[in-house]
Amino acid sequence: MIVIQLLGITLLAAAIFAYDYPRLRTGAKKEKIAFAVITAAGWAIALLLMFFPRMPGPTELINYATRPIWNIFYPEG
Amino acid sequence: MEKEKISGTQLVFMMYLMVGGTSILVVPSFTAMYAKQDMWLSPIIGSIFGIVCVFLAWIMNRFYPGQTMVQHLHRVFGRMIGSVLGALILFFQIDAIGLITREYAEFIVQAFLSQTPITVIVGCIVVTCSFAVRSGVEVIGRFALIFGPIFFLFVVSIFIFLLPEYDFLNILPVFGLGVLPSVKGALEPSVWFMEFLFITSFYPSVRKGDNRLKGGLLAVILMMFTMVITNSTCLFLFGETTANLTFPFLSASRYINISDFFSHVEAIVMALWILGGFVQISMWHYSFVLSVSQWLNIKDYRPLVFPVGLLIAVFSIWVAKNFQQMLHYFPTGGTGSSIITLVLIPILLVVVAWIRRKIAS
Repeated sequence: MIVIQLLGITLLAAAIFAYDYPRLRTGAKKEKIAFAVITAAGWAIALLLMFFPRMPGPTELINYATRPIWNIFYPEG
Repeated sequence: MEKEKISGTQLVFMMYLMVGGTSILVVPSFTAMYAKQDMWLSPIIGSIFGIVCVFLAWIMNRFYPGQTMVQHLHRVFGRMIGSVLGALILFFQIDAIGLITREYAEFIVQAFLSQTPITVIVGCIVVTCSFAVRSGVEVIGRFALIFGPIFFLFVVSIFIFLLPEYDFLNILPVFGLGVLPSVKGALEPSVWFMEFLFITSFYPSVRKGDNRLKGGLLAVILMMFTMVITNSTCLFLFGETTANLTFPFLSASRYINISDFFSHVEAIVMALWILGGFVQISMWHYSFVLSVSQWLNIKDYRPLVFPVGLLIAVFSIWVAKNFQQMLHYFPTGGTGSSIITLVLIPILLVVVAWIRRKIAS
């Protein structure tokens, strides 16, 4: 089952590459790097989520980091 | 490529749907928890934040026209600190988009399509919105111009159709426990109103002659009306038990039954939700892609649309394990991060920009 999911997300990333790469090939280097990095980041996080479904996310980070602020309004959480 | 232009009216409805698309569903229950019978007043108090944010955006646009928030940060603070602050805003944006998409999908799954996995719905809406964003801001503007008034009209008509069922005494006692409950309840809508700051991403695209400030303020007022109407609907129908319902407005629309002929209006609420949600996610997507491309100093944002779409879909799964955790985020982390990113940083930006201009002149 997880192999199918892996295959699916890799195909999705490949589809994104295939759709945009012809336009990118004539572009600047920075665009290509940015495109590759963002696609790779999406692919990597999707991969991680498949293997660790309960991975702590940005919500936990923001809840923890901004605690001094929301503690004033909602002390009970 | 020629710069695309949207008109002032299109901007009004775009911003209205960008912020108000998801607000009609979860806000009444949060407001009822704290404000009880004064919940019709809370959006009016909360709209002050909306007016403040629109003013801040407009002042920045006056100082440096034709540039968005990230570019302002780069100009005022220099590349280093501007990039750091810009990264904060980008992080907030991607988190917010993930939450909005998740909320959108969760409602559809919970209320209507209970066997569908969330990934499918998230995938569908992200793909659709990516195509819309790739086609440019004009497409979103025209769509919002058509469906924004329809959205508002449907909300008002659901309010009117329920008039026979209302118990108007639910509003008493007005200010029974003082002004404090409505102010406490106003904090939750304020989180939505603060998002009006993202109007900075669209100000550069507005036509020359159109009044930007009036457009923004009109959107805030429209949004305030919508929230007051939805809160009043839930208040008059359910009273204080609104706080116990997850989707009060949906439950309210299930009550409509005009002579056994006109019923099952919750289908219209679902249609509203999908229309509003589509515009909302497209707007946030466009704003985020524009901000990312300007943060990286790339000229054209179009190639980045689909990778960012993938990132949004992944984040929407990542931000919350379940619906309750997502709902719990809004009063806690949502308030904190919104106040920092959408109020404090813009105020800092405006103050420093003003000081710099004073020194320069």
